[in-house]
Amino acid sequence: MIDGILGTFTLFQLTFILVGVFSGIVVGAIPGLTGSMLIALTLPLTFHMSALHATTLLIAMYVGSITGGLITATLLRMPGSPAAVMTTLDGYPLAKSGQPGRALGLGITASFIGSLFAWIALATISEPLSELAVKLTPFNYFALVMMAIVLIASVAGGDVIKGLVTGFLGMLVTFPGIDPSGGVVRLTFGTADLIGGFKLLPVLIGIFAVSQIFADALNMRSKPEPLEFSGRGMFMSLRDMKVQAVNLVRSSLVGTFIGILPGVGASVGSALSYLFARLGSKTPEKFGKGSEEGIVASEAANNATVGGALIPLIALGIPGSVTDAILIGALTIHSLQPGPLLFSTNPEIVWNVIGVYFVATFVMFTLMLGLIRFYVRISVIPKSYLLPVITVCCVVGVYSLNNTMFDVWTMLGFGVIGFLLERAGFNLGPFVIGYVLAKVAEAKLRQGLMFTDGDITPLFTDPLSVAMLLIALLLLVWSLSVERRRTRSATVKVNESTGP
Amino acid sequence: MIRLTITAMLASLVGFAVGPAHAQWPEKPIKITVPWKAGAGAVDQMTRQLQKTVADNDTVGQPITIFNIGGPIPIGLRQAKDQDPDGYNFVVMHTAMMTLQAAGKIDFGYRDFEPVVRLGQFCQTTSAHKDTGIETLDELLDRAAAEPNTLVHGANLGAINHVYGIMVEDLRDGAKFRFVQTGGDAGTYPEFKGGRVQVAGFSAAGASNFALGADGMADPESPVRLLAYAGSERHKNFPDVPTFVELGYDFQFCVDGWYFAPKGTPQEAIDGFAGMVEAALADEGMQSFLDSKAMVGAFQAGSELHAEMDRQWEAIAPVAARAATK
Repeated sequence: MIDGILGTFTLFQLTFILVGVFSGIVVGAIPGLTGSMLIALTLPLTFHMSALHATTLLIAMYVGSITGGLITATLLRMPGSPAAVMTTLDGYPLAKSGQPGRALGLGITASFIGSLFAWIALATISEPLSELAVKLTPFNYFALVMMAIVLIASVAGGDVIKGLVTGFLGMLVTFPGIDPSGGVVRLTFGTADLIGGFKLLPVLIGIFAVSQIFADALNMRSKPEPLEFSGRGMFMSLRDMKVQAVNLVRSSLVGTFIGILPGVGASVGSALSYLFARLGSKTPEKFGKGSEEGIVASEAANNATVGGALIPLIALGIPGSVTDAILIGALTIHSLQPGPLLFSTNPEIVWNVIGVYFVATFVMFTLMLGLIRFYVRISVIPKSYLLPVITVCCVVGVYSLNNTMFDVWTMLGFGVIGFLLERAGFNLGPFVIGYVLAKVAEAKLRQGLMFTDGDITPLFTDPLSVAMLLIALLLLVWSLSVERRRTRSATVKVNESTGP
Repeated sequence: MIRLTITAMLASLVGFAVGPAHAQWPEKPIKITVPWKAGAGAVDQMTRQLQKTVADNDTVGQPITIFNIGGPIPIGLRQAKDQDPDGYNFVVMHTAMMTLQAAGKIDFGYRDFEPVVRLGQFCQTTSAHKDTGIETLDELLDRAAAEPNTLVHGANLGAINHVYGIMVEDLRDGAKFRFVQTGGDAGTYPEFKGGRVQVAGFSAAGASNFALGADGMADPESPVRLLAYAGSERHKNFPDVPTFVELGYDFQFCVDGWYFAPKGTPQEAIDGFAGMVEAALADEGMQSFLDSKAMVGAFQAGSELHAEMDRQWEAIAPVAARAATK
């Protein structure tokens, strides 16, 4: 193991890591362009490298890209990548309130710690963790998702009904296309392009980034309000660490674990950990308005999912994420077969992956903090220059994901929907949660029912599922009552102030 | 050694044969559409290896560019079909060309393309979980007939491994598996390992990966017990596993990696492309790639290819239609 890590310190390897992390950060920060796209595009270049160098470059890109998303999410309220969507909810308000350095700094440190946590799990307990993950039944997954989904009500931002409406809208959007269980084509209304459904990247970039472009473009006449940059609060103090300790650990654990589960993904990881953070917070009302805890939860978790996703890849040869699937492709091009055998047949590759992930995490941290002064300037660039560039990136990025124009139309369409929803006072947070969770919930519930030949009772007899469902129920009741109390006190206040 | 020399000789002969066409085709880069995501699956990787081999050996003097169209296969396949038949547009596809059409997910099929060439193929296996105590194919089929709809078979419903599973249960009257959506090899294995899936139809590569130890022998720790191989002869990765034919069943099931061109593509380009693939198959890098994916080179072109596709369509279409409605 030591050899593997030391091996990554050769100058050549370090250059690959630097290039990989830097390009990852840049691509991750640009809305529309994602890490998996960067990795897919780099794949042909790695044909002529050794397997060791190829994996080094690709893993470094993976680590950089998942972090880069927080830059634009925080400064422009446009998530650089889908995994950073939850970061926009609090990062932007905090930056807007005059603390962009603080907002970015928190996100960066949380990313770093989330990454390190996942690394520890990757390097020490990959095997038992993957063994545990394969024990989970589809019903367990479903109950887990239910726990998160009921929290839509609590991120609604004061108006439960409006929150539910956007939440359900998010769920509805997952329905068209080939259904995840039976492979049956549904709700495509005869459109051949809709067979693939509305995909994650175009939908989320549309709802969040494109809608923001529309809003910014309409506000162009009003004078730009440059964010005052101060380095203050950029580094998390010991006190910060203490305050956020529980949140950091919990979010990193949630992220790592969600990462391990195949087919769940970084967006779900950060959404779940955000919801848990809000639940555990003493000041849940600040969430969505610039909560430091919110930023930390989202960023620690989405970075941890990267390390988590590498765990089943290494231990079982099962991709934990889309990007992992491309990594597997890269390995096989070099005649390596990822899987349970990789440890015994090519241990140097396994330790290299683990070592590179570790070093890349530090490189990412240094680069992000070192460059903070430069990218804060994004917010002073006049919108008339910035918006066209971002629009082009969104279109190019979303198009090149699958090389289809349909995805571009999807993105623009959801940009309009997102813009209108916001105008009408709907909070977009529940939309993402509904969208990312409904897919998993449906697939797992139906898969579970196939296993039991249509019998749903195991969902209510399996202790783990029952526990999670009970928690879900309690959360629902609790969050509804909290919201009701809050609305009532708000109404009382309004009455007092408007009363005679 | 002798084998190598013969392949080398064959390669030079092929080079010769392609020679005259060389001057006309190709005059510009050749585009191959892959109707799914980059890097995913053996057939995409096979195409990337073809690209590399052709570039390394300067086989045709022009590069190959690969264009992946993501989303489900029908989207990319339709775009590929409607491309300009100028002799520079090709698409790679496998047996799903048949299953998708039979299931009604595409309203066109292999007959709406010009079949060009088959590069390689991999064959399926049938495995049972060791916890079931099942040790032979006959025991498996007996159990599936005695207790129909109880043994859980992981599959990607409506897709190739599902069709394969149905064909296997059809080998015995009354045998029925309970098919559950688990996806391809990578999605099915965790369910298998977790003990929820008892029967699986892994590809030869998946089977090698999941069932064998580092020494190439059956791994005692693995939950996978390989029962039968659907190739024409035993696979060198697991020489102890019998073929269906040896076990007395007239059954083979291999997934072919085919290249197609849009209808109306000039014959010269079709022949040129086929010749290029044949030459690439003699390359050592291509051979070791195929080996690593437990695939075999299986060059086939012209009327033989057309006949083989017709044969597969007749065998697969009715089963795939059933799979789609299950």
